[in-house]
Amino acid sequence: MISTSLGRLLSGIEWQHDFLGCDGTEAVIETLTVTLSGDTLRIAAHGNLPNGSPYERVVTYRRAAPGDGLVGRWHSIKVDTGATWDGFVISTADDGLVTWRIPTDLQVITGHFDGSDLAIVDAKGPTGSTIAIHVAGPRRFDYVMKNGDRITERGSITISPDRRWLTEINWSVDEPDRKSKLVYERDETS
Amino acid sequence: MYRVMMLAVMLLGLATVRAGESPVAPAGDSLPAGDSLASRSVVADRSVSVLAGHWTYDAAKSRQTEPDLRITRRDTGSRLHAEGAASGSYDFDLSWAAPFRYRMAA
Repeated sequence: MISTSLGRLLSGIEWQHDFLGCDGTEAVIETLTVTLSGDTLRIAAHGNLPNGSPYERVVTYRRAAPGDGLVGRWHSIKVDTGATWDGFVISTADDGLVTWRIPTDLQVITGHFDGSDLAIVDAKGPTGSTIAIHVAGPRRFDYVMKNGDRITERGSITISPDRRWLTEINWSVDEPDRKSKLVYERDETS
Repeated sequence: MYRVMMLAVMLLGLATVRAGESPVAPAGDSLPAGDSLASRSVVADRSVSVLAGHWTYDAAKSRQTEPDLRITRRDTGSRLHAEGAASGSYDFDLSWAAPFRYRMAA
């Protein structure tokens, strides 16, 4: 993907970059604000998700090794997604066919959770990524995500006994000790 | 008569457990004698129904992580290369006010 970037200095410690689409629209696809304060680096990104809804993601890093200004290694210590909305819409059929929609990314996964690779499809077609999910317990599902033939991510999904909460634990295969926990609440009307 | 009914209820209960209520064994387990792939499929099919619904992300209960970041100087100017972020690698310039070409790493 090639885009255009428009950068400007906001202050002595803060820079902002607008990343623009290159499809002729010149629409801002993401604004990145980088702030350096001592040994703390803060990168705030905001833009719009594929369905047009706004997102924000602020990652705070602590310097991990001596360096000059921004240059160096930074250890991530906090991720804040602000008021970004995200969620799933999942339906199941009597024969076990699952349709898993991710409205913000305009993505859908359809198939049986029998461990076979299921294509992750967006508005333009297959993304090239797949997910293989298998039933690991009465309310637990384990998955492996691939990009092409390469395994990129592993995770598990657990439904709480009262069926109100869906908890996803995932990790990059490159950093198995660094796990993310994502919690979703079932809409009472669903 | 009562004992016969209780025995029938117990047998019915055992049959129900065998047919579909027992948890699925971990992957890699061999099928027990008398079990079949068809009965396993029934178990899996019923298990996925707990997923059905609309789910909304709860940021307060979640704890996301990001990979560490490495920023290197791209040239003698103020262009930097950052890699390690979940969104991919990127180059950016700290001083330019004019647009420049930018490549998002795969």
